[in-house]
Amino acid sequence: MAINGKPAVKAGDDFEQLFERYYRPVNYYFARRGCSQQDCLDLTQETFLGVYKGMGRYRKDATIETWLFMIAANIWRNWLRSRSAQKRDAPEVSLEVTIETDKEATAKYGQEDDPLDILLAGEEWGLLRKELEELPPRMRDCLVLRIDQGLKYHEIATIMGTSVQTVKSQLYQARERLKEKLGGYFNDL
Amino acid sequence: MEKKPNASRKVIRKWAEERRRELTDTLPTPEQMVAYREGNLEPDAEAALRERLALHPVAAGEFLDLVSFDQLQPPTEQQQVTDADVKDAWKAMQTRIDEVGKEQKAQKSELEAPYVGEPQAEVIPFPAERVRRLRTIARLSAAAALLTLVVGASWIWDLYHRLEEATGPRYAKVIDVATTRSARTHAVSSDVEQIQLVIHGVDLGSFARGLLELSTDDDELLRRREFAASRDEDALLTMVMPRDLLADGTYRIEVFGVDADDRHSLKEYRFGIEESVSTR
Repeated sequence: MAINGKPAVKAGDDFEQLFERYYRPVNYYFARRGCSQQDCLDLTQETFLGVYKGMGRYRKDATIETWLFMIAANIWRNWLRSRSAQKRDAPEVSLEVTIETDKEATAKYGQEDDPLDILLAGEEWGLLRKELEELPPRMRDCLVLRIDQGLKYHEIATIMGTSVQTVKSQLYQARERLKEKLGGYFNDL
Repeated sequence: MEKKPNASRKVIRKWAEERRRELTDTLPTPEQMVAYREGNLEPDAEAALRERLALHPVAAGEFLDLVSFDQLQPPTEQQQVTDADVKDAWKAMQTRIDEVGKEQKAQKSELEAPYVGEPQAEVIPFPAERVRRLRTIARLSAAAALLTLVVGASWIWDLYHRLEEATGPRYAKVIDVATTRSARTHAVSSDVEQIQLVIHGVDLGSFARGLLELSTDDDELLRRREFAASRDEDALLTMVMPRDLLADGTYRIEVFGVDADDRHSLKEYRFGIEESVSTR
């Protein structure tokens, strides 16, 4: 595979060549996780140090990109853990507390007055939930990736390991099935 | 069943939120993601990981980055790495490698150094009875040590998982949105997964219902939420958002009063979000 017009580096190539070729993607991997520029520099250096130390253990059946991803992703996870241990004083609350607070605010604002919210809080929610859970898992995953995460068709196809055409077909079938069983709830889908 | 506008999205999101709460796992490991991509997982494990990717935006984003690793682009223009940056980084890398080389050399020479000063052991014959007693004591001690090891290991294993759970990247950040004059910028660290917006001073006046819209500075609508007028004047409105939807930038919250015919803009809030400064 060519990157920026240059051929990709293979295992066994010079470390300097590997560094120059992949410095940017590794740095951008950390930047895309929200790390500051200084943290990107430090974590990228840590990643290449891991590469340097582990060159003898490189699995020939994995691509260089996969190997770099695994080293970088593990370094990022360790960094998150070490940071979260240092951030006890930050004004953060656990997800459970967040959910409670949200519920309290909802109650204060009387959002339960919305007819749809009343239905979703009552017995009808059980029926809706059951129908969603009875969808074939792959179909439901496509639906959640599209509606909840708002991903594009080609991104869903990458995650599902399938073609864009199959994703569109799965989404179409899911919609038809839900419309047929739950009518009014899924006319807008 | 009658037609209910926007109901499908609400239903699917509610289901996804509930399911997320049921899944206690944090991010899949990089090794799991690679195994999933290469089709090396058993069918059950593959389905479970696919569901985690579907429900977990951070995991899905990371998986997409794995697939196009060599084509990754920086999130902003300012984070572009120049040729000069790469050269500087290589110089720093060489220094680091030299340090590592020196450390390894020092460790190696320590291990290879001739061992001097070993005291000469004195051989004293043991009486047979004493040897038998010592053997029994040794066996009992070994059994006790093994038991302690098993109990200790299971305790450490349990503790490790508790710590993993406690320190994993499942955090929420609270942002107070109060001003309408300027966009106050809030620092949010990268491992925050959800942001709770606490909106102050929402007064609907005579309107029985309100509508809140959260948009980017470019007018891309992110969330629309309808609510009834509060019975409590000091009530705060809160909204939980995935961190991924609130990338660095400026955002606008507009509150409307809603009546039978139309909606009427009442108040506008602005706030900014940026990656926090490292605490390292």
